[in-house]
Amino acid sequence: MSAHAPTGARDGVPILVVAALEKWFAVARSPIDVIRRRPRERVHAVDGVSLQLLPNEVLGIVGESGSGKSTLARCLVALYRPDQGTINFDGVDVTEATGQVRRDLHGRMQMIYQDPFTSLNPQMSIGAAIEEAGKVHGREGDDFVGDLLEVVGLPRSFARRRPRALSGGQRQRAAIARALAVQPEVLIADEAVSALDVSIQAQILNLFAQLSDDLGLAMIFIAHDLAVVSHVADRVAIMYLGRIVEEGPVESVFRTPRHPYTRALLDAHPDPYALGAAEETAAISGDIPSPLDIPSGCRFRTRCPYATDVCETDDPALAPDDRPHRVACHVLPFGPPAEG
Amino acid sequence: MTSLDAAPRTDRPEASATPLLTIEGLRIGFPSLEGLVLAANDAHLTVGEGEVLGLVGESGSGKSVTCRAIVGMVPHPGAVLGGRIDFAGRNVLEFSKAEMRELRARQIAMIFQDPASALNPVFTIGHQISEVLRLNAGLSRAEARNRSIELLERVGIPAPDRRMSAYPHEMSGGMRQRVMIAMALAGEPRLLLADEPTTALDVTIQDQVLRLLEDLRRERNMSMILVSHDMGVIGTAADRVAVMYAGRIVEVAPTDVLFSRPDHPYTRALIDAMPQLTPEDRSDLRTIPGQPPDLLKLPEGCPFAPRCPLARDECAEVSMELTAVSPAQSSACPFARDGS
Ligand SMILES: Nc1ncnc2c1ncn2[C@@H]1O[C@H](COP(=O)(O)OP(=O)(O)OP(=O)(O)O)[C@@H](O)[C@H]1O
Ligand SMILES: Nc1ncnc2c1ncn2[C@@H]1O[C@H](COP(=O)(O)OP(=O)(O)O)[C@@H](O)[C@H]1O
Ligand code: SF4
Ligand code: SF4
Ligand SMILES: [Mg+2]
Ligand SMILES: [Mg+2]
Repeated sequence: MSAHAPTGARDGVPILVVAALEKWFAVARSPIDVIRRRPRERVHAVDGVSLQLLPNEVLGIVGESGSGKSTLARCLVALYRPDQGTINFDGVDVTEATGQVRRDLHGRMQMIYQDPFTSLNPQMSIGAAIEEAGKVHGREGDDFVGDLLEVVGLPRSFARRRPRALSGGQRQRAAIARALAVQPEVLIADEAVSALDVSIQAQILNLFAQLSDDLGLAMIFIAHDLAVVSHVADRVAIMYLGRIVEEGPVESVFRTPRHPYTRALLDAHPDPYALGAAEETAAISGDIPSPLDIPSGCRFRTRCPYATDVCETDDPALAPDDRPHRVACHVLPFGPPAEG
Repeated sequence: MTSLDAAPRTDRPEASATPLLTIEGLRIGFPSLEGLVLAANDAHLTVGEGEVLGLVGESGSGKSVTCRAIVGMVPHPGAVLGGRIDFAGRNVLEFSKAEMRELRARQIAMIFQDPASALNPVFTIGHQISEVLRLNAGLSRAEARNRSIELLERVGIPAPDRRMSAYPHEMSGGMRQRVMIAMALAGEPRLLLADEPTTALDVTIQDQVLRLLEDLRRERNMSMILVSHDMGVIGTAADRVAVMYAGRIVEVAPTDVLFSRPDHPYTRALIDAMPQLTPEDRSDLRTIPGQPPDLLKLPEGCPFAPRCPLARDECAEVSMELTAVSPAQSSACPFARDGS
C-alpha cells in the first residue's frame, strides 16, 4: 500500500528490529551539587530493550508510568538519538540515518499521541491537515480527504472543522486520519486511548483493530492498561524500569504470566468479574524505584515476593531468543515458559 | 462478550436500614453565556452507615459537583438550585457557614483525584497534617505531631517519623494520595467523599490505595462515596453503585446485581464497552454511538435517547423517576425490560 517498496516486508521477516537499545537523560544538577562536585546523575529511561515487529503485526507495550514506553517510541521514530544499541527499519539503520533517508523514515513510521492536539495544528482545518500530510505521495483533493475521514469513521463534512470543534474521540480519529494520509508502514500509538471515556475508547480500539485487519498495518500499541492492549495486540511486551521483562503472544502472556511483575499487574487490574481475586493474592508492596537508582541484579527485586540471593547480584536476561514467550526471571515461580 | 454468568463477588456487608446521607432532587446549575448548564438535574442518592457507594459515569456527567455540593463546595459560579441533602437527619443545604465548617472538620472529609494540587508545596507534610489536627481536633503541638505520625503509619507510609519533614514534591503520587487519606482521617469522619482517588495512579499503586480504603472503612465503619469513571474500580470496590448520566442518576443497584443484571440501557452499554483482559472476541468491542449530550441542549424526556438502541417515541415523555426493578435495584428506564 506504500509508494516505498518495502524490501523486507515479507511474512516472517521483521520490518523493525531493535537491539540492546539504551537511552539515558542527564539530570540537571542543583548549584549545591555543582559546588560539591557531585557527579551528574543519569536516568536510564530505556535500559537494554530488544524487540522485533513483523509486517501486519500489532505489538502491545505495557508498563506503569516512567517505565520508558514513550522514550522507546520516540527513539523508534528518530525523535531521540539512542545512546546505545541499534534500530533497523526495513534494512535502514534509523540511528545513523541523516538527510533524505531520515526524512523518508518519518513518512514510513507515524506516531499517534495521547493528546491529539500534539499532531493537529489548531489553526488548520482537519481537511487541510490531512491534505498536507498526503502531499508526500502527491495525494490531495476532496476525495482523498473524504475517503480517509470515512476510514476513521468521521463524516466527510468534518474536513472543514477545526480541531477545537471536535470532541476528544473525534479529535483522536482525525489525528489517526492525518497519520494514515502519509501511508505509513508502521503506526506507533503512544497511550492513544488513555484519555478517552470508556464509550469513546471502545470506538477507537475497534478502529485500531480494523486498521490492522483491513489495511494490514504493522503497529506498536503502547498503553498502561492491560485490557486495552489485549483488544488490539497480537503480541505484548511488559516493561519495567526501562527493560522488557516478559514478551509473547497476548493470549499466552495474559493467561499464563511467567514473570512476577506481569502477574502483579494482572492481579492489580480491577476486574469486577474476577471472583474473589482481591482476597487470593497479596498486593505487591512499595513504589516503583526511581530510574535514577535502578536496583542491582533483577530490577524488580525490591518489590518481588519471590526474590532470592541470586536476584540481588545477577541481572536476568530475556531469554532464550527462539521461544515465542520469553521472560527475564531467575526463579520463574510459576513454572518455565511454555514450549512452542 | 461480557461474561455475565461469572458472578461478581458477593461478600459485601449488608447496607444498614437508615441511610446516613440522603440526597433528593438535587439541582446544581452553572450560568454561562449560552444559558444554564444543569450539572445535577434532579439527582437522588442514599448512602448507608458503613457503606461504599460507587458513583460512576462518563466525563462531565456531574459526579464531582454532586460530591462538592454535599460539603458546600460547588465551584464558582455554580450554585445549588433545589433539592435537599440530609446528613444524619439534617439538611446541610440550610447550614450556616460555621456549621458547614464544623461538618467538614468532624463529619465529612473529601479527597481528590490529584493529590499534588490539594497539598501545599511550601510546607512539609508533617506540618500540614498537624495543622489539620490542631484546628479540627484542638490538639496541642506535641499531641498533633504524635497523632500525625500514627496516622501516617496507619496509611502505610514507611518510616513515618522521618517522613514528617518531607515536602509533597519529594513523594510519589501514591505516597501523596496516602498523605491525603491520612489528613482526611484526622477528623475521624463518618463519611468520606473520594473523588477519583486512584485515577492518577499506576495500577499496582491503585490496588494498594483501594485496599487501604477498604481496610479503613471496615475498621471505622466509615461510609464512603467512591467516584470513578472506571467500571472496573467501581465493580471491585463498591457495595452499591449509582450510575450517573447528564446530571441524573439513571440506575442504582447492589454491585453484584448491577454487573450481572444491569437494567438501564446506559448501564448495559457501559459494561459492554469495558475492555476485558482475556476477551473472547477481541476485535469487536461493543460501543455506544455518539457522545454524552450537551447539557445546554438536553432532549425532552430521557437524555440517553439519541444513543439508546431501545429508544422509541415515548422516551421523550418519560419522567426519569427511579422506579424499583427488584428490591434493591431501581432504574429510570421504563422500557428496558420490554423486549429482553
Ligand atoms: N466551574 C464550572 N463552570 C462551568 N461549568 C462547570 C464548572 N464545573 C463543572 N461544570 C460543568 O458541570 C458538569 C459536571 O461536571 P463534573 O465536574 O461534576 O463532572 P464529572 O462527572 O466529575 O466529570 P469527570 O469524570 O470529567 O471528572 C460538566 O458539564 C461541567 O462542564
Ligand atoms: N526529556 C527527558 N529528560 C529527562 N528525563 C526524561 C525525559 N523523558 C523521559 N524521562 C525520564 O525517563 C523515564 C521514562 O520516561 P517515559 O519514557 O516517559 O516513560 P513512560 O512513557 O513509560 O511513562 C522517566 O523516569 C522519565 O522521568
Ligand atoms: S529474578 Fe528474582 S527478583 Fe526478579 S522477578 Fe524473578 S524472582 Fe523476582
Ligand atoms: S427511556 Fe428510552 S431512550 Fe431512555 S434508556 Fe429507556 S429506552 Fe432508552
Ligand atoms: Mg508515556
Ligand atoms: Mg470529576
